[in-house]
Amino acid sequence: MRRRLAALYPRWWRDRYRDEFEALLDDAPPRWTDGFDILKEALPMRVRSLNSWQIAGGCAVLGAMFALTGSYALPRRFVSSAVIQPVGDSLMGDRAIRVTRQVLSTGSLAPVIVRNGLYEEMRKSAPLEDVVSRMRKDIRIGSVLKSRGPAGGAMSLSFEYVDPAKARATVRDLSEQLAAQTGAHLIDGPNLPDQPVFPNRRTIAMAGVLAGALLGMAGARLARASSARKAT
Amino acid sequence: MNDPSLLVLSSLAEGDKHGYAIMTDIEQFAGVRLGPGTLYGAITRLEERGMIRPVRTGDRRQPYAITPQGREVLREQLTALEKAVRTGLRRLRQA
Repeated sequence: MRRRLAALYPRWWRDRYRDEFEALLDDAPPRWTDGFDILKEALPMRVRSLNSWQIAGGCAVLGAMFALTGSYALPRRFVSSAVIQPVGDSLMGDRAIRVTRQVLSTGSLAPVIVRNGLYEEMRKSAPLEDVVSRMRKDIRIGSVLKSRGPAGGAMSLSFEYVDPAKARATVRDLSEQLAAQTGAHLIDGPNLPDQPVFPNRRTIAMAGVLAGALLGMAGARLARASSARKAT
Repeated sequence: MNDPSLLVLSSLAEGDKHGYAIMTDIEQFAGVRLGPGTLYGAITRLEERGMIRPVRTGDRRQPYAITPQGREVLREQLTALEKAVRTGLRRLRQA
């Protein structure tokens, strides 16, 4: 075991000291602390033998691995969307604003929350008004540009949630309310999302690479400063 | 200079020794058992700074000798330490 740990020393050190170090290990009775003692010396020596770019590169890879592993602990969130085609000017100007307010009102959203079993954890501890406020942040209502062909002048409605099936059911529920109030009809969706919009693993991995590289550079500087202190 | 290096120089001030002999000598005169990593970390640094040098041998157990520079550094360090010890003891007696 102690001999295997000696392999952690950098090559220049092993070329110079390995034989006599192993002779010492053969002579000295083993102690349980020896492994830590060898690691404590060998690892900083190994790191000091690398240049800053090698250290930063290694830490960047480790950072990406840690970040990606951590991202799997985050709850995934999915977005389901639908496009609604109005009849005439039923979703234009002030009328569109009025209809949107109506859809986002507590009286409209509270039954949707209960019907679709949304925010069950939050509902155990928070008043329904708070849950409705939370839901409003997860709903997006916007207009579809005329340049998008047959959907021009239409409205898009999307909802972001941890359960893709519930996200779709909620969008369908809200769309039906909208259609009932305005006579509009669904022309697209709601879709069942298969890919989450959060967490964005590519962004998280890049953040891990950056954080790892920066920490690696800082660690290399600290190791060199520590080495310089030992030299005095 | 850190403590393991000082202990290794103190051990070699008596005469040439290989790693295990240094380890047991330090254990006897200082009551400290240096681990193999700590001992060879100190040996590596002392040799790099020219304070000790390897003695030619045909054995795997490599003996080391203290150099004149090593003796000088050891003398300075021990003198400073002795002054600190004397001052501390005197103040303890006065308290």
